Amino acid sequence: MRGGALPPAILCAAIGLGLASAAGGAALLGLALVIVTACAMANAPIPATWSDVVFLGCWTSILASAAIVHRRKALKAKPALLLSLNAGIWTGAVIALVPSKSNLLEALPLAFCVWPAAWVRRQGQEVVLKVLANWLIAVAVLAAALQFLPVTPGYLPDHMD
Amino acid sequence: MALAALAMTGVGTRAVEAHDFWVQLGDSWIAPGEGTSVTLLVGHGPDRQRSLIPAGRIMRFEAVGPNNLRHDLRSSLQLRGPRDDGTVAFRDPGTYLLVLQTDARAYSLLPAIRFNDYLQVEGLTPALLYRERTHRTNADGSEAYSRQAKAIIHVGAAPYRQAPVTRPLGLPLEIVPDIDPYTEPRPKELPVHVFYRGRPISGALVKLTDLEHDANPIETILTDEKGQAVFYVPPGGKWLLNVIWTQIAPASSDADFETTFSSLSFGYTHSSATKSAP
Repeated sequence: MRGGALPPAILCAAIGLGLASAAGGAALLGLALVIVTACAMANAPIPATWSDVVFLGCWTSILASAAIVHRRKALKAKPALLLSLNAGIWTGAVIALVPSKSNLLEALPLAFCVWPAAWVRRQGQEVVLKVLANWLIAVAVLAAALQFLPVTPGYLPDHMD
Repeated sequence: MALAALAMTGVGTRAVEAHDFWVQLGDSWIAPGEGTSVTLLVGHGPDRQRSLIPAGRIMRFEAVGPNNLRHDLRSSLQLRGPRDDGTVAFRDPGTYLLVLQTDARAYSLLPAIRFNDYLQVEGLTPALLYRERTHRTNADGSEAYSRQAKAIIHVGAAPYRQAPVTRPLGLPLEIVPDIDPYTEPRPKELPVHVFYRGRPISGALVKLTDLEHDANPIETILTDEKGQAVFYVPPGGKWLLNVIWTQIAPASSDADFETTFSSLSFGYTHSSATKSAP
């Protein structure tokens, strides 16, 4: 769960679902902010020793972004932009941990789910978005919890001390 | 339940090969007075990395030279330097054995499936049998473990007969070559004995790894009833022999097992000052 484009892709999907409840202009601006911030952060010199913090930030942001789907009211512009900025930062930060930046190309397109999600919402089928959002939240909570387990998870090499 | 299920999805997806520890020399053949780098490495293939072991856990780092003379080298260790973990140099010609020994305060806790896989892959039969006998094969496995690493370095041009490499040094787990791998003419076969707490052990899995392509060992052999394994070592390159053994931990321990990782590294890389050497 910590390698490749999967964590930032899940975050991009979560922010896409979250922005679906924002007004058209705010959603578009938020999407642009995610892309610009992620691209900028992906080239930041983030040390590998920060990986635990970066991944925790990524999982927490997935939780926050996907939880927006459960709001009854539409998302206002200011919180939409703040959430987008946050998602862009952590998407880029996770990608900055590896030398190749090609994960950006795999992760960022998932944020474009904002348009199909907005269409589903307009059709009154929010339950579909809620199911998807809950699945993303479950993955994020479980992945974040794994960091705190004493047992060496499957994705880490063992006996390295 | 769901947490356990997710945790299990990661379990067993990684091949159990990344945990050997060794002392890597910049050059294994150097001239008298010439320095060569020492790097402490752990893991193989994509997981290979500089060891982050704290200096306080290294109990012994010394060179055993010709005529069994010992030189304490702890002061030459500069852990986590930009490119290596220190430099060693020797004034007198001869073959030296670098010995690094850590305490047993390292701790590992692996999920059951992965722990069983690790025991199987590394041939740790005492632990496998114990877990089967006590019906604990479905339990997570914990170990307290230590590292014992040796590296052979040759100083000067000609091979020397007083090499200390064929004698045990009293490490808890130790690979001891029956012949000096640097002897001339270079032998085609390299027989080694494995000693655990001073006694030869049979059934221990010894692995030979080419350190220039170290994702997988090139040969693995179980020691026979005399504790011996015989390898064919190709000429040239950098090589690692390693073995792991374990015993059931005492009831007072937090861990299930006490495990020892042992390695012996050597190579045929010459410094520029010894290029003309055989």
